[in-house]
Amino acid sequence: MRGKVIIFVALIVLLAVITAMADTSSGLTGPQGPIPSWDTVVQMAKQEGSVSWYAYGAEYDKLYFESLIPKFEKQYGIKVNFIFGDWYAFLQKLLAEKKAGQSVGDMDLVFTWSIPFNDAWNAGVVWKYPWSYVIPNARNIVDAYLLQYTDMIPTNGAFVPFIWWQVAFLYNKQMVKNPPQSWDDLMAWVKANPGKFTYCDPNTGGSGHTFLITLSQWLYGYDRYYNSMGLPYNKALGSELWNTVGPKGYSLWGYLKELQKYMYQPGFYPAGNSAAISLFSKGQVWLEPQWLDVTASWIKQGLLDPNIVGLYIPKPTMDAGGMDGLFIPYNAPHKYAAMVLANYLLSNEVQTGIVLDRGGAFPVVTGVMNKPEVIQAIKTQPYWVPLDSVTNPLWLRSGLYMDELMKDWTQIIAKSQ
Amino acid sequence: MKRISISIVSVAMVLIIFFPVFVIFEWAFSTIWYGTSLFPTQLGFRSFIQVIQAGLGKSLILSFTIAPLVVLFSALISIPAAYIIGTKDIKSKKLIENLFLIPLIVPPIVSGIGILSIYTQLGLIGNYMAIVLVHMIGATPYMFRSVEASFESIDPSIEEAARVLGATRLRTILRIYLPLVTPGLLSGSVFAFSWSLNEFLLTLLLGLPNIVTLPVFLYRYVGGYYISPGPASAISVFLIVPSLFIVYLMEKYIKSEYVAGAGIKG
Amino acid sequence: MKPKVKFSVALLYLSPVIIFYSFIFVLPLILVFLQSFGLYSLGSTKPPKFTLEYYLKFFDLKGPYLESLWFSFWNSALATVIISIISFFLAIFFYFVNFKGKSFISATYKIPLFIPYLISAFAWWNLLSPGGYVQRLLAAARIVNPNMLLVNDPNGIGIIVANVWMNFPYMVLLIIGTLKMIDPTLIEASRTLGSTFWKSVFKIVLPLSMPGFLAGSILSFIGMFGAFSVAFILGASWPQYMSISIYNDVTQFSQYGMASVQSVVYMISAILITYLYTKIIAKIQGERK
Repeated sequence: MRGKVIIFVALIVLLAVITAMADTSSGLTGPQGPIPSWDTVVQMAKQEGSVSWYAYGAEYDKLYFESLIPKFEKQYGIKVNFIFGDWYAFLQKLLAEKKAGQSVGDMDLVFTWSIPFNDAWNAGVVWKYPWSYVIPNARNIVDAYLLQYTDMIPTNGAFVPFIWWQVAFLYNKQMVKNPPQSWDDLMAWVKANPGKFTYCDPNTGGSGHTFLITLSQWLYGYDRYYNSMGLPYNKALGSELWNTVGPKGYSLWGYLKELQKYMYQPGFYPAGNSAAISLFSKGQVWLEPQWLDVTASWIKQGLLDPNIVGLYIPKPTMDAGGMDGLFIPYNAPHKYAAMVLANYLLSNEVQTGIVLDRGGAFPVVTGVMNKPEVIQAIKTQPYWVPLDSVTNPLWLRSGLYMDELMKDWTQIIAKSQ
Repeated sequence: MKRISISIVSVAMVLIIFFPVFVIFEWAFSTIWYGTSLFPTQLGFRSFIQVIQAGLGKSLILSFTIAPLVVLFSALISIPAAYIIGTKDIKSKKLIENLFLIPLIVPPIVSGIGILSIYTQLGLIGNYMAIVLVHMIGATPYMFRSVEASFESIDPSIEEAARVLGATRLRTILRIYLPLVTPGLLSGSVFAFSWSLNEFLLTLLLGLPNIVTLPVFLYRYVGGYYISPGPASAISVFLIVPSLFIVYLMEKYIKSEYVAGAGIKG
Repeated sequence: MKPKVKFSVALLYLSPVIIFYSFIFVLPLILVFLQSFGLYSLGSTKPPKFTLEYYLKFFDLKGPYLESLWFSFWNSALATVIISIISFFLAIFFYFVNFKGKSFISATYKIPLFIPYLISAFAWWNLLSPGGYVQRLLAAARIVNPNMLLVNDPNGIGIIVANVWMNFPYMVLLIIGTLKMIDPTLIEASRTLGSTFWKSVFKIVLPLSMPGFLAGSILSFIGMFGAFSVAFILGASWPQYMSISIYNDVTQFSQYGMASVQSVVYMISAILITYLYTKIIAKIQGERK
């Protein structure tokens, strides 16, 4: 009897040891030291066999992302588990897993934007390996800077941009013959056309916060914010700067309060991009900052009459992006497959599809914008602006300051009624 | 004079009730409707096709499988409580009855953020049974109240008689009481079912991304940031049409007391 | 005569419910309560430390939170008053008047009960937005200024309209229920003594049905006070219903401290209002007798 017990226990111990020694998933640890060859990566990915891609956006984004999957699955034989939700929930899930010490998670590739990425990085839930240097298609990125920073927040190669969303000024072509050509002209135009301008609540819509950060960069000078070339993030900059009058003759809050008096329903801010463009489509406002892709979606859904749509970039420029992108969580079980999927999303084919099929967003890789069908589409479709009006000069959103701006705006502007 | 005021009230009632329903149907069947025009300029089924392709079927299945489970479990835990409170004289009876109202008084967001923390740590976010439990919070008080009212109205001598004849308490409950409280169970089930079907906030907080019930599916098209009136209205039509049937059927066959308070909360 | 039963025996039968609510309801509330004092961390990785800073921030008279609470209160209260008045007259109408097609009308007014709040809110958002049918009608009839915002507006007009539409059927049913309990001979007697129909209604029916309907209306009010979806679709950036403020603090700003303080105050307000309300009604009823 005792002998049987001893053997039984020994077997259990042996089983435990073998299990512990076994590589639970090669993807779990991912490459460790020097950058592996791409062939190795693809091989490991195929062994992993599946990848979970978590993405956020509007309903039309969901449909668009889903349309990209079948070709990938066919080409690599790797199954894609696509989960669509909201970026906040993804972050919460990772934070909870980290807190619980969970080393194996569910998420392999996460599509998100700069500020939640920053939160994720600070919380230690991002896989910190500079995998953007592993994937070959990342070498085609329009600017190498984008592999190290997103909205001026350092990414250390762990974040890969995927789509270049762009905000422009949207104006009613039929009602407005002379939209304000530059930021200098905006205040005067709004005063001359009271009730015809709006921007959305920056906490619920990116067109609002992109408008705000570009405005503050224009008011005080872009180089006060540009913080990737040695100018560190200065948390106190906001409170120092935004109440003081800048070279353009306004303080930021002073400008916004003055602007508010002449806006559509002064004190009222549409709750989100859709709410803002809804007002525009009804002819209630004639000018507003708006995403090109939202404009494209509304036209395609038959909600916005393309004959009234005019889009342009006011001089000197509008901040480029955000270039929302992809990161791999620290506990992703299929890191190799995640890299292969990310690489696929950066392929020329997919990036061209962003322009031609999705519409209203720019590619993040080179070799797309100079294609004849792309040039043709941009010329003929009503939801584009010429790319060089955005890139000359090229301004980027200062993510950390933008985050502060959003919070302060609610206190100073929204609640000041 | 009387005739005129009757007509006015009736017409006004029909208009006020059906106006919102009408505009939903309009949006559901429109394919082109610019903001400046009064009516859609083109009609079609595109919105319906879109929501079916986007997973309407899955949401329907989720909603209509979770709701019966909510009814079942809230009945299971309510019946013993309703039995003892309804058929016996207990000192703190009023207090207990009032305690059952508290889940309906406390705003859902309050318990929601607490449950969010617990569920996240237990890894229950997006878990089917975990959502059933959460729906039971608001469904159980209605179920309890209905069933208790039924128990209250039963003559206590019935149980006495059964006991005298040798039945155990359990047998008494199953064989004698349950058939008698069927009206209460029925109306409680209606309330619990509709509560679950329409529960939104907690499912939104705790169910994503796996459990996309009908209200959460709808929310994706009307939730603050992204407004897609066409698909949202198409989904609504799927819920409104059966509701209209139920309302007119109930008016014909079931007494209105049971309808009172079939409050669709959210 | 119902047999007396000791509470300890009753406990056995109550245990399933008690266990259920302890885990799914009481425990989360305790956690929220603790977080409001900094003693527990709902979401962030901040180490727990007792603090009153969240409470101080909440009760700041210049701050947004008290304003938000007040807005939630008066907006729902106003809607309740409007619903009560409309429902009373409609209940009288349905109880006393018979006409052809009554069954159809009687079913029709119950429709809002069966339409999910989210859909009703969305429908009214459509109707009351600039360019929506109701907004156009009201502006054309000069009832409102064409420039006036009816949804997402600082007065919560859209919220009130949608709430009234969604909740009046419940109140009508409630009042009809109380009307049925009034001895019809009382009204008959009043009529024979010479009172007009409406005088009888106000002198007899109203006072007698009042307690029952007041008691029932509190649930309706509290439901609107704590609701989320209506305020979410129809509310403005500011002022906000407290439910929206809490939701945003949790989902967008990760401000769990403020979210939990708001939750505690919100919950206590709801319970307090309910308690005071029922006590006042009981007192009025007591004085009547």
